[in-house]
Amino acid sequence: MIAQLFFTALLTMIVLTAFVQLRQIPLVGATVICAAIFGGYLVWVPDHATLIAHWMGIGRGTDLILYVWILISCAILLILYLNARQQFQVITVLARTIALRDAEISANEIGKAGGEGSAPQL
Amino acid sequence: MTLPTSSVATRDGVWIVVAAYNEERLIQQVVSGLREIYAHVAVVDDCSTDATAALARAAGALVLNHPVNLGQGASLQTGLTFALRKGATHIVTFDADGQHRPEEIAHLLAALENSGADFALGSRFLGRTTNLALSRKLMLKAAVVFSRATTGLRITDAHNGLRAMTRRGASRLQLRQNRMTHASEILHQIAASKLPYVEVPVTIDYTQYSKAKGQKLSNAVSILLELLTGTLHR
Repeated sequence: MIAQLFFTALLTMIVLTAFVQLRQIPLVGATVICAAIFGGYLVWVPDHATLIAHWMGIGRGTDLILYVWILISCAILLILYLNARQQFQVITVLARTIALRDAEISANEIGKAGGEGSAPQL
Repeated sequence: MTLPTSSVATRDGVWIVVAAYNEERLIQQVVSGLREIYAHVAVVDDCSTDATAALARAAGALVLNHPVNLGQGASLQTGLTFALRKGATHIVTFDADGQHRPEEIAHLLAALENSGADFALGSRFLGRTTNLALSRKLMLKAAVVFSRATTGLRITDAHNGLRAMTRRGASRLQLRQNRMTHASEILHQIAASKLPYVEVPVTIDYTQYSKAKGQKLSNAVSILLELLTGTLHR
């Protein structure tokens, strides 16, 4: 019972995490939610794990649970990767804004210093 | 083969965008060659650790500095945005490693003018190459097959850095793939824009330097991965 409660709490956290990401990463988020709900079902009805495993052509119920866990782990890694990628986009926009602003300032300074007429030397 | 040159070639509205990262060996020569023909050359220095920015500036380029290294795609987008803000009527992307010829830009601009297209894409397979290794040729051909299949564009060269575009065309590009994946992304966005495009024969001069700087097989895997994961994120 303690293990069931522990895993249920863990899977609930995973579902909530994926739910938050659902709008940005719908496919991966939905996969994680489905896998976590399925995992929770197996935690509470372990007898069905073996039945479903046999039906799916997997030897043992424990193997099925392992596969579900691997699926969840991989999907979460993908979510983390995609989030990091999104953060990099934000950094890109910031860096571009700085580069463009500095170029404008530099161009204006040269313009004030009498650099007009030699456009390429901005 | 003699290609037509363009009356827009010397116009003030043409901006050349060069993305550069640690290119001190050739950047001065590249910029000087461009500045002999074109007034506006913008070099986007992608946080180089060498003297690229100073040398480009000394050669007469307007230099934009990325405060952190972002990759060639991000550098091109910065250059495109800047050129558009400066009122560019035509924008040309040009590699910093010396493998393109400045005089061929006029052919691309002429193609835009004569065909009414918004994008003129350089093609080494319609033109010619010097010292192209077989392995690289096979990789480039595979990229063409992949790009044709995924974009529907009837192109012969998918990863040529020499391109010209009208203001309207450039405005439709919003590159988000920072690293080398941008070449494929540009083609996807050209296809999505439904704006007309043409291919123009160009010459690529491969040197040991440009080969070392160019696309590697690992980049092809990276491109595939980026395009796949890019479809997962909104």
